Amino acid sequence: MKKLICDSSSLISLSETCLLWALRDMKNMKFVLPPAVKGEIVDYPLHVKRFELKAIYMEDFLHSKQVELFTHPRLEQESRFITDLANSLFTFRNKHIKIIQAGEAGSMAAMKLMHERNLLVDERTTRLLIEDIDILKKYIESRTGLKLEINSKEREALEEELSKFRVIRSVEVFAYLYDKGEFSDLDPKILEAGLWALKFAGCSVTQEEITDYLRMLK
Amino acid sequence: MIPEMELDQYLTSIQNLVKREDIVALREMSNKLIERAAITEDKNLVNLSLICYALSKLMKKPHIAESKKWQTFKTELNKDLEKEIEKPIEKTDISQLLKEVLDDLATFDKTMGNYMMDIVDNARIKQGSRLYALGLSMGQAAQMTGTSKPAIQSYIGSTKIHERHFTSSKTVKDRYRNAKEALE
Repeated sequence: MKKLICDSSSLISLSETCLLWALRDMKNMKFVLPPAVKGEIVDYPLHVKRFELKAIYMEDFLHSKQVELFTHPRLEQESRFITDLANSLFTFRNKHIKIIQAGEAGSMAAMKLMHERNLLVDERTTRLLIEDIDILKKYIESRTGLKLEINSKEREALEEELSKFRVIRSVEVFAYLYDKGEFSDLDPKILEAGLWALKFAGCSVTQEEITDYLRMLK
Repeated sequence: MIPEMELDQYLTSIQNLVKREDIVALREMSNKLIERAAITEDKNLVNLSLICYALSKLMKKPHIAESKKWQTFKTELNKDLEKEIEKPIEKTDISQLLKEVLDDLATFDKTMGNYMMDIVDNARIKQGSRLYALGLSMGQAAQMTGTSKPAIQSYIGSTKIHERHFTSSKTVKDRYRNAKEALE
């Protein structure tokens, strides 16, 4: 059985668009969540009226056979290690910029401990941290107007940890399911509708990428 | 940590802007403060930003701005800020004051506002999404502003934050090929 480690951002997008059932139907897959992710999508929202119902649905999803809650004696230590590296990667006037927190690092630490390479994540900063640190730096500089320094030691260590990981977003999962014929009995417009719905649910995908998907799969 | 003296200056600015009813300047101040907080990670700056945002939103609503309750609220707020500014530095507790002002704003909006979500919750989501727009992760943005990831994410989806084409670090073709390999 294949494993896909999940960050909360993709599960939030899929839940917002009522597509969690599609993950349940992927019988060849195991979706793995570290405890911090559960905290973000179930434990905390359960106490917020606006998100309580979604949290209950999510809790039900976590009880399905397709989901595994990952615990490991070294998970916290590894999460802290990745958080510390990422949060000392960029400096401005000798001050480190803290860019990520425990939840995001937890998923990456779980991948490392499980020797897995595929991470489901819709959130932009974690994705760029894994895929391209220079683009992340350029992005932060363009938005803040600050000139950042990259600490080469941390960069090297992070790239060694993260460069083998592959990022998959909820839009990729949806496109794959469409391509496989999971929605063949529905209006063919479902591909475009689904990709846009996931974008509106917060998946970091551009309008141009959606157009590329439509060109590629329609 | 931002020095108390500097924080006092922000309190004075808030007093002046509220007195002048300068909604635009309050919004600008809120944004500048959250941008500074992104770098310094200073909780007081975050709370000051939330206060500026909430005040600007409240002052924009005619049914609030023209009410007697708002005038009373403004007078009380002014007194509280004044008291804090006048305290000797060693006796100040700005963190506590800022928390109390946020609580007061939330309570005021719950009685006077028309929305189920109060103005401070709204400020947390709005300025949290701004932190994300500046480059922090969603989790870090939510943690700093005291809100949840689902709340920030649902707001972000309606913005153009993700429309930065140079952040597409791989082509759709490559991404899809990787996804197929992982999922098949």
